[in-house]
Amino acid sequence: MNRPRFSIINASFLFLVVSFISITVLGLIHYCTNENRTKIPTFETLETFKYVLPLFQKVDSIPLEFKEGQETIKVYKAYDQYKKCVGAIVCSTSHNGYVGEIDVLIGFDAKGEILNYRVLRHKETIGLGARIVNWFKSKEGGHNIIGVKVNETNLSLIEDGGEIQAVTGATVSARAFLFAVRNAYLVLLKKTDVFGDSGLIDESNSSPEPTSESDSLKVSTLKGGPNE
Amino acid sequence: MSNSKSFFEGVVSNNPVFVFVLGACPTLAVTNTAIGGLSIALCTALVLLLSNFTISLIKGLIPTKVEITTSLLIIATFTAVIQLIFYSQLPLLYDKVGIYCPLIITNVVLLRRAIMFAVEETVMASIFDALGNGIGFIAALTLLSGIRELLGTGRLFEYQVFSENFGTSLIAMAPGALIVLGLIIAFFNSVKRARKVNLDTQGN
Repeated sequence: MNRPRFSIINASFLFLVVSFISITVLGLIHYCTNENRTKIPTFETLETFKYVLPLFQKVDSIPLEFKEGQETIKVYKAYDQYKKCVGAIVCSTSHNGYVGEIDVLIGFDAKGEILNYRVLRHKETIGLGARIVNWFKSKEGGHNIIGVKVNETNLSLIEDGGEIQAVTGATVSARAFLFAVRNAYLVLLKKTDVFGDSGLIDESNSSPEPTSESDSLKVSTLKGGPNE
Repeated sequence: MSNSKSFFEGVVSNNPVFVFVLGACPTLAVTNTAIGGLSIALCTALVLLLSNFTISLIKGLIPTKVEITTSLLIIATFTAVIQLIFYSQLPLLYDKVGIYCPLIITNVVLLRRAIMFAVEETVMASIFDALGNGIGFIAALTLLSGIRELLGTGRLFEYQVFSENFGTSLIAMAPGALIVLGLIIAFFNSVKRARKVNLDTQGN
């Protein structure tokens, strides 16, 4: 096939036409996808709520939002058919992950027991820090937090004076995850009435444990080794 | 060369990843999860198909001296288009692997097929060539990422296949990508050599 001879005019004209078509196509696609792109993707769906807190009839559609230091914590209160509060679903974030933020959805019943959790978002290393997704659900190995009453258990790593076994080779990720869970519990306890009938509020006010956990977290983070 | 032959060459005997070791950077970077590898490979294949088609369509207007520049401009446009569509349709998946999406422009598989095939051949032949190479790239990345996810974490496409403790984190990390890719290339070469020996024996 005969190809046109190269000249500055030829090439300039070609680039001008190709660039014009490119810009038009991009502009069109940008316009068509604009509505979808500006929607904030949400992980907080009824399916994930049911996963972390199976027994409820109704859940708040608009969450209560609290600011705890850097982290924003969202609380969705859940109710049974008699409109009695049966627990809450808490979306908690930790900025202390090895790579970045870790978002966790945790289901608490009205007695302060963790029913289930789901890690919504993380960028931890696959095969190491990413194991937090299921690590704390395992019945073996001293790292289960499902069915645990947070007021009766020190939800910190063994390295930090707590009772939970860290993910092998990923202490920082495990610590960040537990930080998010503890923060979620503290917000429920101090700033909501979810545990109103359980008697937890009085107990917690007399106990300095959560504060000391936070302090031990800061100290141990500073001491942290090369592990993730 | 017939269309079907150029298609099958792209998939198996001239596979861009396992035979020519092209596009190694995305291959090594995105293949720690099967879903990540598959999604970026799909995006790359779509850009390859669209750019091959467009370049072969307008090849009569492109002077030889500026064919690389024009091809890059076209590839960049389609990469941006695919990125916008990917983000708008699958935002949650884009959140995980979207960072690799703009890097499709730098994938040498695309430029190689554009300047070695699309500027010389007919539109139909270019489409078949892009389909072959695209499917070859998808197959290679899915195989590599599937093996890495399975051996690294005991999961496949995020479903737990083996127990939690099965995984070997080395395979899921960067050295694992090189090891698994090397082993697959070695396997490809040994099959190729065995076939060649077999053909030589039959010829004698």
